[in-house]
Amino acid sequence: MNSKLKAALISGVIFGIASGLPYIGNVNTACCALYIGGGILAAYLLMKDLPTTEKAPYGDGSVVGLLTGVIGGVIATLTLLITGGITDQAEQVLDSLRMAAGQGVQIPQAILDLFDTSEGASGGLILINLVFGVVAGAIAACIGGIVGAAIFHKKQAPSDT
Amino acid sequence: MIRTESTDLRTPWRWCLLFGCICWLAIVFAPPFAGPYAEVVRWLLHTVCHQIPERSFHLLGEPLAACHRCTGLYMGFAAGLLVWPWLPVIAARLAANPRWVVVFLLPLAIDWAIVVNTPESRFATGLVAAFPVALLPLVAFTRRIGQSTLANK
Repeated sequence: MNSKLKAALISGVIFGIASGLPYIGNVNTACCALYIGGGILAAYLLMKDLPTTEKAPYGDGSVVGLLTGVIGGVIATLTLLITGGITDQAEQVLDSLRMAAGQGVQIPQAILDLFDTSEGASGGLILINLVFGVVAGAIAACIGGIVGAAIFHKKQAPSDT
Repeated sequence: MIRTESTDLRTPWRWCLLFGCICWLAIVFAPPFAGPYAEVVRWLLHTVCHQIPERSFHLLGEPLAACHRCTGLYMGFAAGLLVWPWLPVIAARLAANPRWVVVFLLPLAIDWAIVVNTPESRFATGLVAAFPVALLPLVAFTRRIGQSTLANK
């Protein structure tokens, strides 16, 4: 298996599951800390097998971080579906929309249906969660991967030629 | 003899990154202008920030979609993308020793760890932490399109 994919899979699955779990997943609310950590871990796993280089391989770090975020985002959404975490915040949104509707604001029924979780999470809600999970995860883990590459790359001793 | 990487960071790709940052910041600043949909906009970022109103900036009486610290991080990153191309000497030194970016994360970690912090300290430490990190993708892009050259100084 490609070493980047292997590192991204290990890191993405670990941090994806962690992101979807109650309490542990809340760590992500500290500026996407779990995804950034996932990117850094993936970069570490990749860098430990790479030879020494003169320049930090940011390209490799960003790619492995991006893959980690995408895999992590998908796994996190699946975990949230299993644990029921996807519906928690939606109820709060629905309450605010109903309150606005009660004050005479026209809220389209489709939007109310989107956040209505009385019969479980709607397909649209799951899709938006998936898209935002993957996008936010990919951005954060990509940055984590670049920072990881900066920290963990094995620097070649400079030659004076 | 110190060997530094001389980089022209004014790659056109930085505008793509900056556009992405502006889109993200637009979501952060959108709730005060979203009327009844403010909670929907905030929900979009609920997985990446705790969004506690007491720990978020308010605009027009409405909390933003991200906390002080996250707002600082996003704005610091965007500012970094804008400013680093105009600081070539410092950029070259930091690019040659990229592990130094960790030092800039320390104030944020200390501010997070101490119980008594202020909105200003949370925002400022976020700004300081993200600013140098913005240099790394710029260097990556510059190398990618082959504008990077090594120069002995």
